[in-house]
Amino acid sequence: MSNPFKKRATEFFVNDESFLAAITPLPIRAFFKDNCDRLYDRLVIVSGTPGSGKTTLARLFQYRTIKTLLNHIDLESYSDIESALSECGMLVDHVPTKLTCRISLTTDYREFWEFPYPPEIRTRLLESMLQARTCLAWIQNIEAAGHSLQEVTVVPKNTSVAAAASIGVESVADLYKKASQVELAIYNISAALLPPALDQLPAIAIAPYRPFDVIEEFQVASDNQVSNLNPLVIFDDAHELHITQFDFLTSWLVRRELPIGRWIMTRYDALSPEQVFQGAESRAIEDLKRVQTKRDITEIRFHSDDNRKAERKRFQKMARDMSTRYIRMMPVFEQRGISDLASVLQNDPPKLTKGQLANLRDLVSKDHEKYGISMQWREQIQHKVQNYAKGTTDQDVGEDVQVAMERILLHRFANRLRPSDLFSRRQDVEPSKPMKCDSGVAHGAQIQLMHRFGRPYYYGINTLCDSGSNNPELFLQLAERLVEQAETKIVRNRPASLSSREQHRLLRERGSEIVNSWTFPECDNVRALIELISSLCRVATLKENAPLGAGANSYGIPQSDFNELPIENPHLARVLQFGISYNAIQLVQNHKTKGDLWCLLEIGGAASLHYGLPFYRGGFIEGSIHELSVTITR
Amino acid sequence: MNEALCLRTLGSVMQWSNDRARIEYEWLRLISKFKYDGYRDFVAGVQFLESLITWLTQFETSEERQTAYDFLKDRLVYVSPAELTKLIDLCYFEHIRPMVTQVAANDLAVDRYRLWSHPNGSKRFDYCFRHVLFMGLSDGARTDLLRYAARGKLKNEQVVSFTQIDPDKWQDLLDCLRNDTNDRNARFHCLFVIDDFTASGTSILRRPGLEKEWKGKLVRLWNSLDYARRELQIELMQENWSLRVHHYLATQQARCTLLKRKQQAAHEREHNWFKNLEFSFSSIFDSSIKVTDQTDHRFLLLTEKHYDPNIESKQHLEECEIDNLKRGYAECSLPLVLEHNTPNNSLALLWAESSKGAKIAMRPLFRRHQRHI
Repeated sequence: MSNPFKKRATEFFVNDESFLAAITPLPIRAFFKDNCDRLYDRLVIVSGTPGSGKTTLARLFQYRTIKTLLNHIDLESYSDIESALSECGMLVDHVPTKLTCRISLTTDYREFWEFPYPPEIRTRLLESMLQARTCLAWIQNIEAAGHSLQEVTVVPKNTSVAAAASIGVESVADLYKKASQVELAIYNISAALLPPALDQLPAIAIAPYRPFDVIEEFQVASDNQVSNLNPLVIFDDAHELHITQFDFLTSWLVRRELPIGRWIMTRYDALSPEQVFQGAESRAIEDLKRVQTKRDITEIRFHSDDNRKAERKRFQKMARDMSTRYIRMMPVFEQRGISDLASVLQNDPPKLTKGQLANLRDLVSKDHEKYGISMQWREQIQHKVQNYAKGTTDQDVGEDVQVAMERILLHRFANRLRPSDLFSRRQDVEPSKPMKCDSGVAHGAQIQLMHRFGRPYYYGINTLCDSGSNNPELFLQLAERLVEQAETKIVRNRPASLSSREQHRLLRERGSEIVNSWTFPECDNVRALIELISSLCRVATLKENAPLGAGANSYGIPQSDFNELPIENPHLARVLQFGISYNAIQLVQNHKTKGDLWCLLEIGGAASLHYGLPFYRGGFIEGSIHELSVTITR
Repeated sequence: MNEALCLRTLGSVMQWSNDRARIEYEWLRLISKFKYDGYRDFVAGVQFLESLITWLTQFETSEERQTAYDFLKDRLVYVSPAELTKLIDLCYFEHIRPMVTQVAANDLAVDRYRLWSHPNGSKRFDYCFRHVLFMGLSDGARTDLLRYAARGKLKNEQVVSFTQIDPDKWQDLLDCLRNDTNDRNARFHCLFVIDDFTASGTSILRRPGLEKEWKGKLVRLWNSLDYARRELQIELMQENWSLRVHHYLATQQARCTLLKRKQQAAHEREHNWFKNLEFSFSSIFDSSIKVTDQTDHRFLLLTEKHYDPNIESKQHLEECEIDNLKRGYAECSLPLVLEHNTPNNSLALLWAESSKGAKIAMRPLFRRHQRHI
């Protein structure tokens, strides 16, 4: 088997069994469980960055996949997924309750917008095509799950008889036949070299066809049991539609009287900067003033600004679970008895060489002498560092880190002396503020040692998870390199584990590769912004007194200025939107510091690795919209 | 050998670091799976990776092995079955079909592009197509794939896998043609001769040394036709018939040589030669394919050092006026391997194998099957 870490996209898993083996149930719980009573009776819009797992979940929710899961429920790894699906209402008592299908909007739907017809005809064609293909997909799911069509009946909503008759609800075979006819008629229009003239459009293509208004339920009778399945359609990759089509789709599906469940999955690209930045309502809803968004739409974001600490922990758990499942799919690791990625990644703290340590000590002695700090104070600083090292759970506070911490504290001490104290060269003066030796100093020491001596900084499973910026695909892209290296070592009959030095080097290399391979819209401008922010962050991080502790990885703009950004500087807003949409930047809004509110542009995991920035949060450089806007080009 | 063992052995033969091994393993897995394992000489148990190990270990130092490995990665040109199929498709769609279309259009006195809208266009095309006889110059002509490319058009009775046909076979071919066309006097209007590759053009047409006699496959074809015509005492071909010699692949050097020799032969042999002879190619390698001292100096040093003179056939060497095969036949100096065999115009280090007991034992990466044993 090839390396599954390279196969993040679910489309690459050919059969449902291998797909299910790679699925972790944690995102289902994280994103859907809390909304389980608002998922099936109204429009649901799920948005996230590429690789955040939207399509994976859409594929999992399909009826055929759920039936495959239930057929193998005795497998331990499947039961966890089953319980997660139950928690979000997809299953009740181990029985599916929804007939779910996924319709990818990446194919020919965009072309409907190019047709030379009036808008109402174009939208009707799109509407009919989507409904026809959805009906076909529902029936295909039923068949793929092993039911014969004779076992299934369509239960229409108690509504117009004419509407029901027009879609063929007498039997599933009729429904299939009618959907096929409509699909073929519209397909012939969209696939034609030249679309037919308006008056030559086939009648079936523009005749009323509204199965979404009519179908309420499918009843499946098998094994002397009748199960009722509520239809649910997931329109995936909706960002591929034209902006007007996207608006139409949203306003069409938001109607309350639709009896079916309907979800739209989209990247942030399809949203406006205001929506991405401020979580504003969908654009179509802004137009539809009659709609009360919170009541009529359930919006789920695969990323949120709220409770970032909890989200990071959740992602760490999910990423570990995912990597374990993937590792178990690789026989080469199985033969070595390795069942999770964490066991391959050594967590032992690195050490400076003797020569490097001597250089560091020399630096500290020179600084001590330069600032004329008394030996008594230096001993006190050393004592504080030693006490911290003894009391902390952080393993990476060896001799080298302690010396680097001492140096940071010496500089802080010097900064806290009044200028007159320095000129008088009094060595027993007290600093203006008491000295504190905490984790910030230790983290600052660690990252400074990386930049000054090349001491490994990025290693261990938690660092790997953090480098994924809460995005499964990015995590797998980074993990792939480590897994490949471990696999190579196994092939060569060597211990599979990777030292901290190896992990650090490979992760930084991979991070650089990812940054250099960005090709999304406005990527050059995003890269320029990140270059600017990173260089400022690096200067702040490497200040000898480490004023920001672990260092900086963010750029702060006053929140009030940022709120005006989409109107005041729409181009910069668009650039930032793409940066956020493609995991290059993360947005942290309403961050409180020194009594002010800030919006932080936090550098994503790949760029942090590339530029050598910390994953610790909170450290930021104060900046301005103006500084960013002069960095980008039109 | 299993894949892991092969990769491990390669890693130690090449003395790769783990990082380098990771990169190379990925490439080797990919390239062997998608291309090189398909080489026809490989068998289960001895495929590309095993062959590569043997090939690399013949070099003494790690620098030499590195040079050889770099050459393999950066310079080797391997034509896989998928690529060959495309070249054969090109032969049909870019050469045979347009040629027959033109003949049919001429017959109906319309422009070529109007043929298909003419009421009799399609029928005339089929009729003219049937009057073409296809001949393979070697196994590499892959007439089976050509038949697939021209499915529905090309009949078994108009394809022969060799050029030297005895009179009985000629009679048989003519009978089939006449039967199919209901024309007792039908004859072929075109002979379409096909081969896979020509690097120097020598085997097609040459006049070695000062000897006056022309040699090569085309001379043999002429003699065979002449003999059959005299034996059967009938004309096999229509008046003004044409001979089309098509290669799926050729070098620029071969193309120039053939065009030059075509003129020379026509001039010197006058009536004893084909009146309408054309050469065509599905694809031509430009001169940059050639391995030279400027581009690959270090690898050429290896070809000098690792050479066993016993692999040579004296007759072959004399015919192309060279004294060794280090840079391949006719000194074409090619880095080329075809999926079914390696041309002898490629560097000998790629394909030559010494007999047991040789002083310098050459081990092939892609063993060549010699046609002349």
